[in-house]
Amino acid sequence: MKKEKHIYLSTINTILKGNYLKYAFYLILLLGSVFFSTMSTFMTKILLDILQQPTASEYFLVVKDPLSIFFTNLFGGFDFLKNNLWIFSIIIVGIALAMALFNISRMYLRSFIMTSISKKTQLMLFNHVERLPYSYIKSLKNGDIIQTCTRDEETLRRFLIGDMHTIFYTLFTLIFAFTILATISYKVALMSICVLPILFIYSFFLIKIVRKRYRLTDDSEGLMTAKIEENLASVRIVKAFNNEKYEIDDFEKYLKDYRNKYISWRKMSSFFFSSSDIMVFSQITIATIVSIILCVSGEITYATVIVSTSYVSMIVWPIRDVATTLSNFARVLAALDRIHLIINQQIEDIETGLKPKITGNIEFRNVSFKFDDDEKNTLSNISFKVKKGQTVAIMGKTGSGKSTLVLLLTRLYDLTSGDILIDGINIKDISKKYLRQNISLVLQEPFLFSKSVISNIKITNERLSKEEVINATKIAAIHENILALEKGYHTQVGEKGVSLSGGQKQRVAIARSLVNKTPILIFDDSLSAVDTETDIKIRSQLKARMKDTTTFIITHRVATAKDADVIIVLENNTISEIGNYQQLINQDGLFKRINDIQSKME
Amino acid sequence: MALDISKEENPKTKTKLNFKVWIKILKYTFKRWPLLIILLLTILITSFYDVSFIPLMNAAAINTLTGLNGNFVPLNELLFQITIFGINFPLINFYGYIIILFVAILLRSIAIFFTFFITNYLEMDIMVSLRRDSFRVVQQLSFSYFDKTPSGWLIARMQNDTATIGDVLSWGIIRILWITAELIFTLITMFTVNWLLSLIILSMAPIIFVVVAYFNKIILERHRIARNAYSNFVRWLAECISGVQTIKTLAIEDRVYNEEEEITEEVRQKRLKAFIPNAFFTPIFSILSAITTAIIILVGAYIYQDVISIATLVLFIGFVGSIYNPLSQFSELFAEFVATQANIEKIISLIETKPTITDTSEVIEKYGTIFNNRTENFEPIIGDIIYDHVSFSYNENIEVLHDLSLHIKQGTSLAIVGETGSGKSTTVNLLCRFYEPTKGRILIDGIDYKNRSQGWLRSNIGYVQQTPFVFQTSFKNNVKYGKLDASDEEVINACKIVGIHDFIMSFKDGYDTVLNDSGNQLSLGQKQLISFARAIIRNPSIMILDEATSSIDTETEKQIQDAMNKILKGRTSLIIAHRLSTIVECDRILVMRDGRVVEDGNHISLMKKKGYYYELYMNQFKQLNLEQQLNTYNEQIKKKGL
Repeated sequence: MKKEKHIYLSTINTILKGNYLKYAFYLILLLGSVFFSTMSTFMTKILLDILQQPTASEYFLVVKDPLSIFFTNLFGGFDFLKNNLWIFSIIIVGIALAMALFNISRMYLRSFIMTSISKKTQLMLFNHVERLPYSYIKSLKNGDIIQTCTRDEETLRRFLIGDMHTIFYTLFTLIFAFTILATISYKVALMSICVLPILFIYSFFLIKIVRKRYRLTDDSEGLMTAKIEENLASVRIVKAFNNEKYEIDDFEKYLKDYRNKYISWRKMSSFFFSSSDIMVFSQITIATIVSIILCVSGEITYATVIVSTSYVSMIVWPIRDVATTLSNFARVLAALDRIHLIINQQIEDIETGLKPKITGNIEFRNVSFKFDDDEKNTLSNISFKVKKGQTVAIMGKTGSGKSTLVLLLTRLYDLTSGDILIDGINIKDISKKYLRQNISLVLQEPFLFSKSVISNIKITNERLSKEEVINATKIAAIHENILALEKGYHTQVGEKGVSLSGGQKQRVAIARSLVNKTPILIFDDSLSAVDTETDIKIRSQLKARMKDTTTFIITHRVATAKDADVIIVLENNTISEIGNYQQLINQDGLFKRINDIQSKME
Repeated sequence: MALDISKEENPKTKTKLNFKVWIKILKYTFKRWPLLIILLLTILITSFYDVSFIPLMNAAAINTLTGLNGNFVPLNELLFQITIFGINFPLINFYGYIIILFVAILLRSIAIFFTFFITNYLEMDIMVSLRRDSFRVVQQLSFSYFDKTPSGWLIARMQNDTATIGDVLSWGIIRILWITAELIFTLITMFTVNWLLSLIILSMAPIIFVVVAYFNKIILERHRIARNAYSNFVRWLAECISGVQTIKTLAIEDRVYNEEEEITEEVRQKRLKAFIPNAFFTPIFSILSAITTAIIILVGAYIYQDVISIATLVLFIGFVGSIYNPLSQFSELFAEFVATQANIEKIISLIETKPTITDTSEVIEKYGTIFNNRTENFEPIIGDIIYDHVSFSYNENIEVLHDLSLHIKQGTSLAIVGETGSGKSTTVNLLCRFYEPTKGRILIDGIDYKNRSQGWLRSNIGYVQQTPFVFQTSFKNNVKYGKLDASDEEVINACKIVGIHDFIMSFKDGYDTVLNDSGNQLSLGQKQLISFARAIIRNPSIMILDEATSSIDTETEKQIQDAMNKILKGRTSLIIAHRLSTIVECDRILVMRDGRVVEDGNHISLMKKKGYYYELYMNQFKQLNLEQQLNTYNEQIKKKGL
């Protein structure tokens, strides 16, 4: 339990660090503005007492509290004030101005702290996420990450700014109002807060019931909206099966369930507000009645009756807010937990390591790989050698480990046993960042950012010249297509822009990988959406222009594999055949069978 | 067509009220007029308590206390003169005074209970009614509507707009009532006590109005900008998270970080700008109040001097707050109403949309509507289909199907192949009457299908679409969706026919296993088998498979193939296939290109012809992955000897 508390505090500390001084200053300003606001009310009391009493001696006979005496003397004594009532107007406006000054700086500071810790949290969270090991990120749900970076961040910010403000504001008001009242009459002071503890406890617990019913309602609404989404997604089925009536009746059930839960929730919440209102107003009324009694017995002046009523009204409403806020504290802790879970995860070190010159000789030595939650190896005992500038085709059935094999080379996954050497150096010793900068991997499902085509291609290096970009797009056989777009290279793609076809996306991604002229190039089935002719065009261009580049091509087309220097066939998680085209068609195996079929069909 | 799929803000907030839509939407509130009357009553009680009763009770107490002049009086001889709206009530003693106070508290609490509850009830009621109405409309709309309207747009209407409108039409209206009641009570109370001081307070009202309106405009606008910046950030975030593998392989983490720094800084600045006016708004307001208070003190002390009672002075100092608050809320409310208008316009337009495909009144009279079929009048269907010079265009001038004439005899399995945009989907969509021919007729069993109802046609069609859809319910209910009154035996039988029975039974709960959201329990192929079972349980005369096999994984391909062969037996069937290997066995293959039939025959004859079909087939074969090639080849050798 103690350790957990430590986690919460350290997470809050990470977020607040650098803002503590501002935060403290904010509290001081808040204290100031609460002080002036209680003072403003107190001035009314002095004014009323002075109005009431004809002479100084009579005034000091009934007004005995030190604060009133102090302020009366401060502003020139009873007689002066009695004859110059305009001074009170000045004082009230003066206090209002001072209060405004405090409030403006306070709220300005508050906006500043709020927006900067919000930014800091957002930045810190995602920056951490993108630097986590790939295998860890894959184990998280995308929706959960987004949830933490947005909603949990918001919950925490609201707590640190909004909820803490409510708590401190109430605390300061309570202290000032109670102290001032106590200097006049401790009886009034005590009677002014006697209902508050009951109100606090009542609100704290009752709002929990309200919230529970709210959650039921919320879940029910979730089901209802899921129903709407499902209906819209299946609209063609609904119509084809003539089930419109059934859908309407079914939806009515969701509406009814929601309605019932909503009514039960709202009954409770309305009851909460109206019943706690009884306590709130009773507190105010009790304070009024007790002060009237004390006033009649001569203990306090009637002006005190008025200020005590004002002060009680100032405290009693925020008390209810604090109670409801505190009872929702579990939500804040849950958000903190999720944030902590992310930022506590060790990030991947991509910087340290050797940065040798990479030319592209690659050797796999008995490489095996197993996913953490799998029992069987995904790859077992893979050994082969590739010389600089060679082309390697990798073939195999779905799930045979083709993609995993090339991901091992980039160290997105780290192999379980064995070694991979590049130019004789074990890749374990090479900086991951350096390694990835030297290996261009075109993924099976290409991903383009919501930017212009040119920004996507230049994403790794903004200083690329126009010639270099066009050179790459020409090799990827996409240059003409890009020019045909409305704004050419400056056309927006991705979610907000034009949607490219699968093949076009793949080719833009290929161009993006080509611009850096890395010594190693990998196509993970990335020519699959490209038609056969374009496939040939791209490969012949590659061969002609990038002689020194070691190229891996994962493919299922025999024709594509035909021209490779080395063909690797993966079966049952290991290499079943390896060699060039001539060698493989002369041995009985999967490759030969496929080759035979394809030629027979022709 | 507006395509704002996400919760994008309206670029501009209109300032003109469109009364037409308001009248339409207000019906949803006024439908509950008895509740509104109760609400009016409870609001009157609450605001009377807040702005008239309590200040006047306090004033009565102060009058009594100041009247004592320091003389001691026993508590039970203390008398209170309560004056409300200039009417003097009989004198009461201290205990009476206390009792009145507590009774009033109780009354106010009861009133506030009903105010809250009824308002919340209205909010829910309006939202639920709007959802119900729009849901009903959506069920009736034709396919062409869904082609033009992204489902995101509809979801935004049915979820967000209904909630916003529910809120504004309940709380917005109640706040107007409340504020008005408070203002009226305050004004009556003030003027019945002292008219000069009342005028002083009111003289500040125009300034308050101007200040509030000015700040509201700025704050609303800046908050909108800030929200847009934030949703931009969220969009960026979602994109980067889905592209994290690319980020890592390109080793551009630092670049992405810089980009995020820019985007979050943008959010920070826009938000800061939105919050700053708030910092000035309230303080300016309290300065104005303080100035008014100061003037009241001056007037009270110098002009009235002894004429005015201290109780009156205290009363008016209190009025400063109770009149300015409602005044400031008026313009805020107005802005809120104006901002909701766009949502209202959209949802009204949705609710008033008429379907493009409707049955004639004679047809409805005989066969009923889609909601209420008169199945007793349905003629049985044999399944003889004739396309009689059918042409179709989605948009004017762009014809996608040209003069198609086709006779599909009962029991034929007809495959339609061709590239995207060749018109094959249009051909079957027309048969289902999802669209109607722009020219020509479609005859089923020799009768133009427009002479019978949509319900009649669809109850005789089994339809399987490209992307299999499973509902988030049990296996049983998923299959029963095809025939709502099917017995368990029928369900099991359908599943056995398509070969998914054993798989379903492998679950602990068997047919009652609930399929969840992510659908991870099922592969795409298994989902498609469920769709097959759903179609077959109807025992339809016409079966339509719209690219039903194109997204199937290799594991289930054979199973699907077997299922298909079984369900097509003895029925007229139309199969659109992207993957040609699946239609090799069909009786007849129609090859389409650019909206016309270019080849017509069966697999062997078309392959021998070495025409367009041959070209398509060979191209596809080479794209298959290794095991598919192997399987397809073996299968076909076995079956056709090719």
